[in-house]
Amino acid sequence: MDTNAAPIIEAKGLTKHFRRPVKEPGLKGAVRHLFRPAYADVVAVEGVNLSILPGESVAYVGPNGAGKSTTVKLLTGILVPTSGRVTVNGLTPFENRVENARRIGVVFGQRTQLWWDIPVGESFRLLGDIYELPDETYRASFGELIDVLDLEPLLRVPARQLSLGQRMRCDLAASLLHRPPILYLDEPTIGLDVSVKARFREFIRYMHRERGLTVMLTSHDLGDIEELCDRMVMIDNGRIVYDGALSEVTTRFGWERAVHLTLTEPDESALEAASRALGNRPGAVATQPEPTMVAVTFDSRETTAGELIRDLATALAVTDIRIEEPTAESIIRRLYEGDLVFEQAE
Amino acid sequence: MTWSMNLSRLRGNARLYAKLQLIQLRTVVEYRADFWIGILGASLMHGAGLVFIVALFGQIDELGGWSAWEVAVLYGLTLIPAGLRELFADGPWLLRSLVNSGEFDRLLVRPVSPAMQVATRLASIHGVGQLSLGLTLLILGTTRSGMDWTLWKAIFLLVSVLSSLGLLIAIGFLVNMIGFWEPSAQSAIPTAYAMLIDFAKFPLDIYSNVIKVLVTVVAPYAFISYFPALVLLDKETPWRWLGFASPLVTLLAVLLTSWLWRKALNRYQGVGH
Repeated sequence: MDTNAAPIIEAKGLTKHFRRPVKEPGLKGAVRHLFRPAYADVVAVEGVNLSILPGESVAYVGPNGAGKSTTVKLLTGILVPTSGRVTVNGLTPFENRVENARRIGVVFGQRTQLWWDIPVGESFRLLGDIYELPDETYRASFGELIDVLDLEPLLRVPARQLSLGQRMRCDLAASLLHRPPILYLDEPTIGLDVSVKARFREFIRYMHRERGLTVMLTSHDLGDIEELCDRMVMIDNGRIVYDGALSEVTTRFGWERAVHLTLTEPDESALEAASRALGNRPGAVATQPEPTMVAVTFDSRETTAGELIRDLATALAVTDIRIEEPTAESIIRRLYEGDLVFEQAE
Repeated sequence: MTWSMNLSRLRGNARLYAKLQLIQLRTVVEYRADFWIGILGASLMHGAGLVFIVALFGQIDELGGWSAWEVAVLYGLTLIPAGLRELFADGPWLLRSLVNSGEFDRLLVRPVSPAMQVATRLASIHGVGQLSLGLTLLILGTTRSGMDWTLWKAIFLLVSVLSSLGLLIAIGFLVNMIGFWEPSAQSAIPTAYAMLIDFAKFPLDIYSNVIKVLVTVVAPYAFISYFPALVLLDKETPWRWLGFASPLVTLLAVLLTSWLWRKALNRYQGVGH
C-alpha cells in the first residue's frame, strides 16, 4: 500500500439529520398528524471525518442505530448529507450519482440486485448492458467471477430459486462485474452458514490482496471483521469513537482481563465472599453469572492474576480456574455493550 | 458534449429501456395464471365501460352535441395512450413501495437514471387490451362519424398520442412521488387523481364548470382526448385551438415533474439508519 497516495474515500465533517414525523399513537394521533404535522430532528451521523486509501480494507462497526448504514449510504451517494463533504474516486457521490455508480460496487446483505424472475445469467448480461461494458471486458470479468465463485451451475436458475448462500455469491459477482475499485459490503454475511461465510471471506480476501480492491465492510459478525480488515472504525451515536488498526484495540484495552472460577457446588453467598476477599484490590469486580461460577474482571496494570487467585482460592471452594485473555472480539462486544468506553477520538 | 455523443447516448438508453422493459413483460408471462386473470379482469373492466356506452346511446342520440361515434373517438384517444403507458411505463406505480421498503437504495447506485429504472420497473400486459380496444374505437369512431382523413390529420394524431403518453407518464410519476414526502404505504390520492382520466372519455360539454376546470387545469386529461378530438373532428368551438396546445401541456407537466423529481431524490431518506 502506498501511504502517499491520495485517499480514495474521504469525508469531512459529514453530518446527516433525519426528519421523522412525530405521531401520537392510534388513529387519533394519525389524524392529528394529518392536519398539524410535527417532526423531530434525529441525528444519525454527526461530523464524521474519514480518509481511506486505495487498497485498504476497513471495518465500519458500531451497535445498531449508531449510524453505520447511514454513513455507507452517504458514501455511496444514496443519501444527501445535511452538511459536510464527501469525495469518492474524486467525485461527490450524490452530485454525480451515475458516474459514481460506475466506480463502486455495493452489496446489501438483505437485498439482492438480481432480477427475481429471470435466470441469473441473464441478470449478469443485463448488468453488462447497464454498466455499458465492452464485450471483451464483460467476457473477461464474467469468466473470472464465474470461475472463482463457481457460478456455472447457477446461471440458468432464476434468482428466486437460489438459496441464500448461492444468492450471496451471485450478488457478489453482480457487484464486481464492472470491476469497480471500491466495494461496499453492508452486513454481507447475515444468515449465511459457517462454510458459506468462510468461502465468502476467502473470496473478498482474494479480491483485496490480488486485485487491490478497496473494501469497506459494515458487519456485526466479528469474524468478518477480524478476517477481512486491518483497520477498524467504530461509530457510536453518530460519532466516530475509534479509528485505527484492529490490532491496536487489543493493546488499548488489553489490560482488561478476567478470572473465571468454577465452584464445587452452588453457593448463594459466593459473590459476597469473593467481594470481601477482594476488598482492597483496586479495579477488581466480581460477578456471579451462574450459581457455580464466579467471574472477576480486573485491571492487569493494578493487580496480577496470581494475587487474585490467591485471595479467592482461600475464600471459596474452587474446582477450576480459567484466565481470560482479551481478544478483539470480546473487546468489541464489550464496547457495544457499553462496558468499555473509548475516550473521544483524538 | 457534442451532438453525436448525445445521440449515441440516447440510442444506448433507448436500447437499455427496451431490454429492461422486455424483462418485465417476460416476467408477466411467466406467471401464467396471474397473466390470464389479469387479462380477464382488464377485459371485464373495459367491457363494462363499453356496455354502459352502448346502453346510453340506445336511449339518446347525442351527448352534449357529440354522436356515439364521436364519443368513441374520445374513448379511443383516452385508451390508446393509457394502454401504451400501462404497457411501457407502469413502474411509477411501484414508486411508493420502492421508497417505503428502501428498495429505492439500489436504483441510486446504478449508472442509469433512477427515473428510467423506475419507469421500467413494471410492465402491465393489460395495456395490450386497452391499446387494442382504443385503436378499434378510434378507427371505428373516425370512419363512422365521417371524418375525412388527411395526411396532416394523421400526423396530428400521432403527435397528440405521443404527447398524451408523455403527459400520462409524467402524471404517473407526479402522483406517486408523494411517497417521498409522506412515507405511508397507502394513499388514496394517486389513485383518485389517476381515475379522473375517466372524465376524458366523454365530451367536456356535459360537465359542470368545476369539472371542466378540474380536467383542464388540475388534472389536464382533457388535453389527451377532448381538445385533440375538436381538431380531428373539425368541431366548431372557440376552444378548438387548445387541441394544438397538448404538446405544450405535456412539456409543462414534464418540466414540473422533473423539477420535483430532483427535489425528491435529494430528499430521499431511505429506511433504517
